Amino acid sequence: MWLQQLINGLTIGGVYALISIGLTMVYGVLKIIHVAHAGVYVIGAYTGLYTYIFTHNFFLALILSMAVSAFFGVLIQNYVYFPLLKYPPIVPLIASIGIFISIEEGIRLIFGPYIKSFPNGLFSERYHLGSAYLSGTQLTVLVLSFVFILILWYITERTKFGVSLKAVSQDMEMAEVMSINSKRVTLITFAIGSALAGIAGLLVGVYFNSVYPAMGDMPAYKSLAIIVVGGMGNIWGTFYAAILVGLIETILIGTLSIPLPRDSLAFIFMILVLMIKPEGLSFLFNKR
Amino acid sequence: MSSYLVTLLITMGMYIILALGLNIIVGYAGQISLGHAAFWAIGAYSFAILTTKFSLSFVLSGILAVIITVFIGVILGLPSLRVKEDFLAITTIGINFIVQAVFKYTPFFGGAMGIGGIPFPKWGDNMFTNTQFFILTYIMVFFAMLVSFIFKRSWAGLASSAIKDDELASDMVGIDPRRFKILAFALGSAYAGIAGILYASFMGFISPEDFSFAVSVAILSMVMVGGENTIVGPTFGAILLISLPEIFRPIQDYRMLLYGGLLLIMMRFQPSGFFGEGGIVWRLIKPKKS
Repeated sequence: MWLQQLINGLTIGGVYALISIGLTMVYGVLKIIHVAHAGVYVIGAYTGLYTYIFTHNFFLALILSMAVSAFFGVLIQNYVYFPLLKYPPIVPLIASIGIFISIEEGIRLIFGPYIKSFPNGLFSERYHLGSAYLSGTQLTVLVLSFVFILILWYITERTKFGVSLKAVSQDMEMAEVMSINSKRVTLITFAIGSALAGIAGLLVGVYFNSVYPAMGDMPAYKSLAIIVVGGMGNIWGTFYAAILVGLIETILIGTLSIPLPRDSLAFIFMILVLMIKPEGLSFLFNKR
Repeated sequence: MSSYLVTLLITMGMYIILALGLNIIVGYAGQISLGHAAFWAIGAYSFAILTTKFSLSFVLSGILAVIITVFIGVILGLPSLRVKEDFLAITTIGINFIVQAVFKYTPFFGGAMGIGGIPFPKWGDNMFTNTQFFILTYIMVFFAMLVSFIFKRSWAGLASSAIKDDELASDMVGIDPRRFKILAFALGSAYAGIAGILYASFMGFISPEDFSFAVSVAILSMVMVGGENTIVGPTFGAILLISLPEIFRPIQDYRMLLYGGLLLIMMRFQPSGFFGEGGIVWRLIKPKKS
């Protein structure tokens, strides 16, 4: 029972981590609440779904959904956010909500409002672990999300780009003085973040075996709560926050009967964190 | 007037009040709020509970509903003292979801089924007609505008805009930001409370779905598209965003796409909205400098 809840919670947490890390990276460099990130996530899910339907190749679907999502992310950053940086944060926020609504509606008009699923049940095998069982989709989701988070860890902690990313997040002007091309760093950050959102979209589509235009609604706002818990812009704080929210949600809903919907738990958790420790989980990582 | 037009105009009037109320929080005091529908819901629900469960009269429950909304609005505005800008935006989104969830999952508030049988106002022994309700709504709209106008020119309004420009500096010259932020939230929720009473009474039935996050986004969009920090801006924004779906009824399927596109294009190319500072309308009216 508990093991099963743990597995389910980790799977959901892994997917949350993929979405929220992209969002927190974007917030780190531009200080914009990128609601349209969830729109990119829906684009990733649809790209993956249609690639799989036409080619029956999951690997190709993964690559293409990353590429298309990264493309849209860069597009949004370059043509909407960059010119709006000089305005108060509410202006890019409304613009972002506008993009999000447009993407969801555009997809609904093109592909129809119905729930679509992957043909002939992708990864349908099951593995038993004592009393709990692990389905093939769960295993795929778990493995892939942790692989991509490891890759991300390597990029941000072990490469020159990672150092420039941190520099730009701390102070864009000062980073430029140190001859870092902050525009390029921002573009790459958007590409990576959006690619992660695309993977998350595809994995959620596989996990619940359903892809539909409104699938971005819930992640759009829950990932905001997660990045606040993780400390806005802090990648590893966000990672732990995502896993924690996934586990708390699954365990609280699974074992106690709480008269509140699952999706508001993240916000309650967030408000508690804000009241107690406004800087979020990031205090765990400040070595000062 | 046909009943369709009257209903549309009454809805418009409610949204004008809501947008003006949010404008006090966002435009005058500079606090981002993405949860205005929550305040609206509290007004509507307290009015509905007072009239149906406690069978109080229209006026008495109306006054009590506004007081309750202001009280809860001040409590929900407390995070603005602690968190700023982006954090506040996300916190208010959270407040919207939680308030909606509380109404939806508490049997006392009717649960997902909502509350029905909320009375229409009476004139002596007769029920109001729709036209009379329309007049009542626009009297409220007039008062909303009047209070906004007076507030902006009052000492408190000037203090609020000082906080909006630079919170630290205004704190240094002796303006306590906490007082005026709370005042802005109190006034904004009073507006939302009045709009909630009108909504509950006019519809006769309310459910949690009426006050979703999308509604909050729509109200904030009215303020921003019309032009924040003005009175004509939010009014125009409300009229525009309520009438557009009706004008585009023949192409109903594309309405939300147009709405999203409008938000994007306005913010991208006209961040101060139609009537805001340096907005598109002023530039068109003003003669070019030679």
